[in-house]
Amino acid sequence: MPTVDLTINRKAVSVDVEDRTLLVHVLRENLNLTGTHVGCDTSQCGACVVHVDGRAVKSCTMLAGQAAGCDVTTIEGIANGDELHPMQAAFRDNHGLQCGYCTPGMIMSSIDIVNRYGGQLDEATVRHELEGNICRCTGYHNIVKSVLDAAGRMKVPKAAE
Amino acid sequence: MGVEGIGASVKRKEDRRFITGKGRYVDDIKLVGLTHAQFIRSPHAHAKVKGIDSSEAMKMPGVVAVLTGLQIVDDKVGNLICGWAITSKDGSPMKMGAWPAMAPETVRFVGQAVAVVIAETKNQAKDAAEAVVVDYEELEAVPDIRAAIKQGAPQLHPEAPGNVVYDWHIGDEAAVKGALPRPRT
Repeated sequence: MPTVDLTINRKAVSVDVEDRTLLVHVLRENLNLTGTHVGCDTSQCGACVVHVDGRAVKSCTMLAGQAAGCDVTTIEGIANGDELHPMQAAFRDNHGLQCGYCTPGMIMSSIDIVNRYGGQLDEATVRHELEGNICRCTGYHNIVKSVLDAAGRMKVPKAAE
Repeated sequence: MGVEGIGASVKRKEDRRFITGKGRYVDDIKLVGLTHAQFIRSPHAHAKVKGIDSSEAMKMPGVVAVLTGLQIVDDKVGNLICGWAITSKDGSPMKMGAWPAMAPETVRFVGQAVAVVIAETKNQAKDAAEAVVVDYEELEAVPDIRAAIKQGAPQLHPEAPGNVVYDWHIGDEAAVKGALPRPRT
């Protein structure tokens, strides 16, 4: 079985996995990072979103082998010890979750959205950018509020790459 | 905002674990000796299940069992129920077909399960499922409601002749008709 070496939440890891193994399964099964979820079989729902080299990626649509040498951040890696990331805090403060299943993906996607727009966001843009994340519970209203709230709290350089 | 008691906003207690990825959803639970199931599903909308050959699958690594719809019958596992019993306009009870968890003899929709592989890992279950051979005899399908109730349509459930489960209404038909605007000539 091939070995894949990569960095996950700032830790170097080395996993032996079959070639067909998806990144989401390496996270959930090999590394016990079960915060990243599988919600569909079709790359539509976004419950699996993580950051790979600083960009939001659906980890169900990437082979583990493709992440070799990459820097992966999951929902478990964005808080600073006990101090929540502003996006996490915003979801809590704005009732941006109910069952919580889509939430890690929503949070990871939303951080990427705020980064790319340099914190300059409006409701229409957030709704459009979140089309790749599906929520069954909330109707999205409070998720959008959470993202806009977090955008105000996050210190993002104006011109994001 | 200063409101106490009724009308005060109450913060949820459970959010911390969900926003930090520490929830325990069913697939997150890991137990020693846990096995995994992979269902084998019909690619046909309407077909007879003539036979299921799991001999090759049973030899594959990690496979614990291959179970079929016939075993559900043998083990006297009950069918799926319908939570709401409807009575037709003529007072007769609805005529519901049998819905076992896996089809023992006849599949009636694309994706209906006919067998399940149990194995030690997900990948072993997936690989073994591909080795199970199901012999189907395709039947004519009825995917349209209007076609289903026509004379001579393929009959789907012996319990529901003419493919009608119920013919139901609620309210006062004459009063509704009277209240609606007449169609323009």
